[in-house]
Amino acid sequence: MMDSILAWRPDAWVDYFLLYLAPGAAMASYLLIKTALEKPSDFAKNVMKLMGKEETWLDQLKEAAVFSFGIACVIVGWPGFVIWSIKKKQDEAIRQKREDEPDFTCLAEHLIAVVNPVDAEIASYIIDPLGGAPSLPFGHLNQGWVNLLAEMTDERDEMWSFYIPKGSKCGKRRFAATSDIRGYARVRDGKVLGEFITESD
Amino acid sequence: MTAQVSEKLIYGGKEIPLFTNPLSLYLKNSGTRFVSPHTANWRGYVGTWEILEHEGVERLYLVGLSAHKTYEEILRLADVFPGCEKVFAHWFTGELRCPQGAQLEYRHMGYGSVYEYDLLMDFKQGVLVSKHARHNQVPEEEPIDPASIPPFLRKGQ
Repeated sequence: MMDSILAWRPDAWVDYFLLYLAPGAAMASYLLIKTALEKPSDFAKNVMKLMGKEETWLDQLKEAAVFSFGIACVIVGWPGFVIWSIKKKQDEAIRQKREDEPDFTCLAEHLIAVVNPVDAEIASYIIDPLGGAPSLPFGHLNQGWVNLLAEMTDERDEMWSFYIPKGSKCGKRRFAATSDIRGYARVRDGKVLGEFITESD
Repeated sequence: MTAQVSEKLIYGGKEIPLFTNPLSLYLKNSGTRFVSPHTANWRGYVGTWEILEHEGVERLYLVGLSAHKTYEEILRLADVFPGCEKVFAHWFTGELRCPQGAQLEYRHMGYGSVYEYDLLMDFKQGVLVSKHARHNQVPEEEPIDPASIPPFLRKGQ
């Protein structure tokens, strides 16, 4: 049996056509099994029933017709589906990578100049005549400054000051800044790796 | 999102609601988080702010705090800022919005409700630099065209 299968060679166009359809059939089978496993639960069916959206026999007929057409398309046009599937996976990976990136308000275009942390610290003390701010660098925001300094462990890291004017796009999602924003950023090779906002709304 | 309970601002000896959260940046920097006690207070705290004048300069201070460490345990200003009777909001640069007058329209979202007036105060590093009032009107809503509603959202379909 195995020998006869291995010895088989296509000789007519029908053989070649069937050979072409074989991966499509495998793909369609996979999709059928996957869809069967994704059938709505009894709970979902009951909710649909309560909402008056129970499937009628006409709905089922329509669904079957659409499904059959879809399966036929997959069997015949499987190379296209393979390309589409690969592209979808790549797009998803790019989207996921972007989603996983840390969300810093400061973007590269907001960086002003490299600063010396010591100079930044000297200029940061808050003067409040009513004694409402501690005598620490950046006053009540001292913890954020300490955290930024603690992150600067790599000798390639640079500290930059940044300024985001009100209304300009900022952050990963490019929302408009609702006020002027100032602060310091940890930058390596032009990329913002950390930030400390000293002024915002 | 449910309409959110406002901050409080003492200005000119009067307590008025404040539709801005000046404490946000401090909390972000210090990594402090509070627990939301209910859906009308997702941030988990209510701050009382005061604008105090000294030698002609008006500054913004946090003078009171009621913050939920847990649902039951409430932290006060001295718990979050030990040794401070008032906290100068030197980090705050932006606009404070204080709604005034009658509520013209309720919006079930954040600080979205519309009032007759908004008292708007601009601050630079915690110092008041300007203020003005804005007169609001009830925004006109366009009637909804039933044809624009997707079929699955229409009743009985």
